[in-house]
Amino acid sequence: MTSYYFRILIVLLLSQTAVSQIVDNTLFQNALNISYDNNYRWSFVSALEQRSLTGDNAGLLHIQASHYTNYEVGFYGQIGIGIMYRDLRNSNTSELRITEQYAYSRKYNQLKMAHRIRWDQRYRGDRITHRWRYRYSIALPLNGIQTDKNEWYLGASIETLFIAENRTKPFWDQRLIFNLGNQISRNFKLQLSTEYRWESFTQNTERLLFINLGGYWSL
Amino acid sequence: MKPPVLDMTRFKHIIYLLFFLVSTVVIAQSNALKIEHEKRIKSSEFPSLSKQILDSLIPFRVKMKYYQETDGDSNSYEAKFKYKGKKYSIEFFENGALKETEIEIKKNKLSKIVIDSINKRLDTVARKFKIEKIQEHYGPSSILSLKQKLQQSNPDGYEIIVAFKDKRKIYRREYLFDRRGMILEVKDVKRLEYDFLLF
Repeated sequence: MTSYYFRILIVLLLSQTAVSQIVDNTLFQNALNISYDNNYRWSFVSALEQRSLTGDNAGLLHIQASHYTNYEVGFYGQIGIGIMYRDLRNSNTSELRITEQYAYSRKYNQLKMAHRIRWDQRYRGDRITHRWRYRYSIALPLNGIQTDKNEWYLGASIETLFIAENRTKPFWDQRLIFNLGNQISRNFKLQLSTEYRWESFTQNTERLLFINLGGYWSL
Repeated sequence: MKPPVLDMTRFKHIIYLLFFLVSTVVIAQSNALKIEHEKRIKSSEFPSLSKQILDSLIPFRVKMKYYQETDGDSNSYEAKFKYKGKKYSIEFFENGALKETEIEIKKNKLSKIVIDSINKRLDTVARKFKIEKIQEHYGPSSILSLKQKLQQSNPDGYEIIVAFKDKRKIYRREYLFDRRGMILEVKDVKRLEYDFLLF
């Protein structure tokens, strides 16, 4: 069984290498997400994240801290509000982001799926950018009906963004994400993702590849 | 207004310290946990007696999957498959003998008397509820008796997963009802995590 998952990992890594030949930049992100759920309708998620550029111009791009507060509505819905502070290393400004979101998530036997609609207001100096986003995600355990300790899961997401700012022509971004995760313990999972981004795909498209490593800790 | 700039060196140290603390706490917690899980296994690892029972009960199965379930010290085996468009789950004891059978059905397949009785009981639990999954439940019995019950669609009861909502909480429970809609067993269902999908 283990060798089977290693094969999946190799396929993921090979696909990264293949795509990295045609992307404009490859970036690496590592993150730690801590979620707190007290079994009532409120839940909280905080995250620390770091993004670096690889290749010839390798270096740290930014470090960010975020917090989301969510409230369950209906049987499967959730509304949330978030705040994020991003320290940009290659700029004199920093970024403050406020997010409102609605998410709908369900489980059908093994398959977990989630729709997420998000509205971001991004403040950088005197610039305000609005980003309307929709994401559809699925996750599937690779062993049994749920991901137990030491077991692997696969995930995938597709996200479309519409980005608008004063005195700038609005544009669209597209993202495609594949995840491979392991439930290290009951409360902690580690997830490796490859994320392909087509930024401003209706105009001057920039293709980016992100390799993300994230720890998810549930309190 | 420009937000204050962080001291990067200090911030980096805090991140590393956090990662270290998380991993230490996580490892410490994982040792204290009771192991209870379902593991997919190969057909060759499934008890041969159970396979013979399966063949005599339902010979033409599709999408066969075999599992081993561990709950503390006790082991059991489970076969999941599809037959005539329905999802079957048949559980066996560690020695391969037949334990219980479940078949997923739609709500409209239950008789009005049974569903009314179930709804009446669930109505007293919380302000709102939603039935998420219904399975016909066949308890331990002889192969012949089970075969007859399956042919007649005559279950011993129904296993139902229900989501409840009251003013402060949304939670799920698994109920076992008898064939008249009386509660036999109740279990809490583990709260699902979607954080890794949503953020």
